[in-house]
Amino acid sequence: MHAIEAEALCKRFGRTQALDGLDLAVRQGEVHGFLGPNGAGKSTTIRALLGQITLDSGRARIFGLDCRRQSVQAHRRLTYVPGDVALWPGLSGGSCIDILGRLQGGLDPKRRDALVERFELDPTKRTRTYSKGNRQKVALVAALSVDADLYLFDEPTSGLDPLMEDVFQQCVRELKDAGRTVLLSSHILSEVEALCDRVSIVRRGAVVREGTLADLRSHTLTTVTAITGTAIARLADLDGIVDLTVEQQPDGVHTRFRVGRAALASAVGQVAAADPTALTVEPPSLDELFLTNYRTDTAVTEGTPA
Amino acid sequence: MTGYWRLVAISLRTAPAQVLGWALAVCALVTSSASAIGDKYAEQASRDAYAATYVGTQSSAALQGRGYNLETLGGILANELGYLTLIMLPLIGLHLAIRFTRSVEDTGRLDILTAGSVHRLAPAAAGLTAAALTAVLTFLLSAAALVTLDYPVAGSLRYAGSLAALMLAFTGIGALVAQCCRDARTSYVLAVACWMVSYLARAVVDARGVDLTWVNPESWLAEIRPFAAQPPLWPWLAVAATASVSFAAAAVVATRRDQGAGLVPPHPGPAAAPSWMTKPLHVLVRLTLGVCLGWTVGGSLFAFSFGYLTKQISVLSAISGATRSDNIDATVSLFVQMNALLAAAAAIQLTQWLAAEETSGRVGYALASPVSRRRWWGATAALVTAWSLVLLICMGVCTGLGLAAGFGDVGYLDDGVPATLAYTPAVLLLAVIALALQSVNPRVVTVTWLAVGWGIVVCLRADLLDLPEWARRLSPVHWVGAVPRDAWDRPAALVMTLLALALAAVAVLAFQRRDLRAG
Repeated sequence: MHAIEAEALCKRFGRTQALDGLDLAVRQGEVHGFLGPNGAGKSTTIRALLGQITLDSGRARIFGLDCRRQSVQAHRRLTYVPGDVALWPGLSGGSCIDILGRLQGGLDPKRRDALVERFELDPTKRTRTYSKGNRQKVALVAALSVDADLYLFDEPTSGLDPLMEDVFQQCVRELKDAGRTVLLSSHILSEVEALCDRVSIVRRGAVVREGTLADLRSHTLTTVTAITGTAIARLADLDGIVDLTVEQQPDGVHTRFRVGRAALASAVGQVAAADPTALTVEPPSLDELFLTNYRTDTAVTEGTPA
Repeated sequence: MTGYWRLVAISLRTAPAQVLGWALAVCALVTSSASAIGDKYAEQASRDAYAATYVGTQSSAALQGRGYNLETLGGILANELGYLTLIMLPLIGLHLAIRFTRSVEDTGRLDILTAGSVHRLAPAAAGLTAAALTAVLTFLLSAAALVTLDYPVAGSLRYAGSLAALMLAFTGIGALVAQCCRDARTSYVLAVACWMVSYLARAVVDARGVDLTWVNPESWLAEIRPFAAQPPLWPWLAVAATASVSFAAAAVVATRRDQGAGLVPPHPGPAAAPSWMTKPLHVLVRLTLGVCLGWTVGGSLFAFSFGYLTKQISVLSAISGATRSDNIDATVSLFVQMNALLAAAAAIQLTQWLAAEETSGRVGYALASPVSRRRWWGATAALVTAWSLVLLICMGVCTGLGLAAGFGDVGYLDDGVPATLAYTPAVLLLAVIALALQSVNPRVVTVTWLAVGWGIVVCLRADLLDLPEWARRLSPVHWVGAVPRDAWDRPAALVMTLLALALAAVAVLAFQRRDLRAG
């Protein structure tokens, strides 16, 4: 049984199709990255998982429990950090943490105090006077003080400074070591790379890529640049080579191309055979991976070797 | 002032219904009353008779203000409308001032606007211009209506002007309050408190005939004497002075304080929530405690004051021949109906606050915990109905206390509570209507205010406006009958209670099924 199983979720708000057949599977004990451009449907998916909205079609389950009909049972096992944290204006941050934790049940006061310390939060300040980052800390402390099986984080670190970002990453690693499941919606690629076992990339209400980071990398292109005395033979004939440029310059022939995983070995073999004076092979950067997947469908098919 | 006109345009474009709607409401009231009075007192003899009943007694002045020039149609109109104008106009003025300044600031929109090339005071000045525009429209529309209905031109202009002036004076007070408080909610509480003090002070001054009318803006409406041969100038100057001083003070405060903060910096709170706060209901009680206590104190003060003034007020009808105890009962039934309407108003305001909890995203956040929607709804409904009943009981007790104090007879002590509680089903029904609307869509709760507004019109002015029975029946308070003068209408009470329960059941289902607002 998966921690989260969503099948063909569809939800329409007026004229916008927010979710368009979205599938999502999060295994127990994994940290799952949930990525996508703004307005792709990440928060809508999380709201559907929390049973806040009725789906037009599709079904979503958390630990086998229906997200809408058995939401209370499902909520016993999860805790949530919203992307836009709204706190009760007249109360202090500490009060908000306690209220949220007690509604959730199982707030551990020791853990709470330790987290307040770790996140350097002043719990006596009124929530009205908190900055965005501090509101986010309140929500994080409230969620992390609770012992849950599933942690739903909707862009939890937006507004946090790098030090606090680091504390957050430590906390998630501790959750992972304790065998908890985390769904982490995020725009911060380094955070995703550091924490996530698997990722799902969502665009226009549907998941377009899903798998481990290594999987995803294998679908993207490696950039090769080389300087050789003479032009490299038969490079253009190879399958899976794109963006090939060849320039004659005083120090030799500058060749640059991008290649998929399948053709990488033979392409580099051809380059090596031409006796290069300089050779760089750049692995696909994570940024590039996401940019390719965030952009239009055509860009993705171009980038994927047949 | 850089950016002023652009901001005025934004204010008007974001809330045209506020600016136009309130002016139209006042104009509709003036027009319908003016037309009814024109028919009823067509003969000079009937006007003289009307004036004669008032001579020497300022008894009903507690409710409607002092009457002047009662031998003219205009004088009768101003006198009869005093019942509503003394309540409506100040509240509209206060509401608009806060709505166009502090409420906008609360949304955070000002942070973006003032980052542009905009003068520091421009947003507030523009908002208040929009608010003042309502007063101007009220003047123009009402004056046009009165002149059309053949009221004397000069008097009509002065009367319509006096309505606008009262509204404007309170817009100024509202502007000052809005700048001093830390947010719109606190501003509303303080502003309504200001109005209530002003209203009750005027009631006492008018009922007792004390010569202190120059102190209080609420008194100036009557003191303008629009239909007198030689109306005094000083009330106009007083209004102008009040408005300009409060606007100036608001400007001073606005330049001294931080954006998004009040005059008093927020003091730190407890590092942890009190240990009793563990359930949804506890949280909601904590969030609404301040406003609920405010309503209780204000409502009790209101109930006591009018209980106390009942003796003077009921003298009036005694002159016209009815027996004394009948008159007291008639007057008391008027006040207990007002108690009921105030309790319903409190219920609606609470529901609005709780609806705002959802639109702000906090309900969605809180309900990510294992709390079912039905439980949350139950806590909301329990809180709203319980507080309105507590308020009703407090006001009933205070009406009794006021009666006893006014008549100097402890025997009246237990007259307030049973009569007030007779209206419980009506209050419940109005509260549940608000809750039901909130359950369907949190943004439409405001509509319920129409029911309370109409209830006040029916309660105070139904006979004057010659409202047909079906129109009176639109107000649930009217269904109960005029207790204690009439017997309690048990079938009606039963029907209302059942209706409320049925509506509540539908509301729970609706709330469980719909999408929650963003959270």
